[in-house]
Amino acid sequence: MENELYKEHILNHYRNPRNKYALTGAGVVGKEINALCGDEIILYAHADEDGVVTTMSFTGEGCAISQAAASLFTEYAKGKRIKELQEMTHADVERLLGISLSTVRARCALLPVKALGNRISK
Amino acid sequence: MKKDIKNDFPIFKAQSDERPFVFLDSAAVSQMPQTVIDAVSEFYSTYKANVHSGIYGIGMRAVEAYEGARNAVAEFLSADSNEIIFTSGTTASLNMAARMLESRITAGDEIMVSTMEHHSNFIPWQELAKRTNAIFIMLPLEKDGTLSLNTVRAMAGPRTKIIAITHVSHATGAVNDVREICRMAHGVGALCVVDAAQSAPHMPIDVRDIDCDFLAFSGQKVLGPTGTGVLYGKEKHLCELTPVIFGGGMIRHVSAEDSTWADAPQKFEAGTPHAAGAIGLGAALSYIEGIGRKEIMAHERNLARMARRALMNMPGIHLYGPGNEKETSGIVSFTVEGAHPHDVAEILSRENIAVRAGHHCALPLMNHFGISGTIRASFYLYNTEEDVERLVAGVQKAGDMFQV
Repeated sequence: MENELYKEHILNHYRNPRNKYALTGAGVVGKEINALCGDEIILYAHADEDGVVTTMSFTGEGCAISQAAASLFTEYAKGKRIKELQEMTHADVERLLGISLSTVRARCALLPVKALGNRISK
Repeated sequence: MKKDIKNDFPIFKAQSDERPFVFLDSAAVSQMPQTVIDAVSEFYSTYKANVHSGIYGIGMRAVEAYEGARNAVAEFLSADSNEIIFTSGTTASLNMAARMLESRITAGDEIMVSTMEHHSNFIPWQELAKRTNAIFIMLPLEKDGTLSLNTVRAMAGPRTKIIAITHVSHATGAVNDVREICRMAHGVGALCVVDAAQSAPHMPIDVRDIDCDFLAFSGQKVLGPTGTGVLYGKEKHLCELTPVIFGGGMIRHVSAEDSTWADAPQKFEAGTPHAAGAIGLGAALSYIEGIGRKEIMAHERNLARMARRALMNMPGIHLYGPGNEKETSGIVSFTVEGAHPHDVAEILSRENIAVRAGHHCALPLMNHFGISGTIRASFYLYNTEEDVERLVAGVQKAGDMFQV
């Protein structure tokens, strides 16, 4: 139980984040800052005419939880509707990350979700 | 420092499992000895009454205890009792000072703060400058995050009206020579406001010697209850300045035409004060004086020095703040390469060690260092050498996990 938060796959996504780049010509860009620690995530996505994500990427620095969450989120997002992605809850991101999160750390994990919620469509 | 001091603080028993609780976040909030909890509890259980109006037994007792606490604060700072305003904390004190001084500022005046300030001694002055069209100036720091007196000397001038400066940096432990900065401020005709949130709990403070115009500190950092604080103001200022919060308990006369104010400090304490908190604060100061601030300071500096030396020799650890140990208090700020400060704090928390991680409400300072945040261990009278050893072992574990 001791380090259940930092399971191997979380550390793996932290050390080798997937889809960590600024997507050129992204139709959707959103940013969120965690007021508590100042960590910032910018999400980029291409979506088709039905609002289904075809590609998603992210940039920004942060803790293991926010980085792993962003990495897993960009993988999970492919083929999902933006609308349903931006409505993901504390429980949803716990399922996505496969770990349980305190209220404080859930804010880190929800950073990519919030960033998508703050999107500006271009 | 006496050996069994943790026994005076019930939190350590409450939060210890097979691993004793290591609390290293006293710079944010300190723990309370049983005597303080008892003083607060006694007020609530036996003589809770408003300190403004009670012409009955417990009402008078409440007034005596509340004013007794004010006397204790005055003695603690070498001030007079009528120079002590009770507030809800340093933030409230500094905001109040900024509002009180608004009448002294006109367009084009300069208001100065340092780059190491906590946001609470930064934003109120920035906002005051905005309201008055004054010029807000941030004093730059040296590479190690310290403020050179030469910088203050070079930048303070005839247009400078206020210099607001922290006594001790909450983020690095750097100590400012506030006595000299006050002298410089007065030399150019400016007032000097000192944020003593990180010094009052740890070192002797004599406001007559420092010669500051205002000084603020928080109750919760000096072993007192949360929601308590103090604003000291020189008597002549408190007499001249007008209140910024209005209501009951602060008036001399009220009529349809106009209202007039009670004498200081009452005119600055509108509404029912946090009497229980003030009484607890008084008890906390008396506990501290029973040990002595010189002894407390020496003890903390020793622990901080131990921690710095151990961390310095570990790979991937970066320490922030002045290298000269004589100029720092019991605060150690560091980062672990490859690990976010919050992750390090989380791993330490799993070892039953409480530290603070993040930007510490000092974004201009973090910006100066070019980092997003640090891990901060702050020591107080109840910490021990074992606490330092546990911290160092915990940081080692975090480093291993993130493969420094």
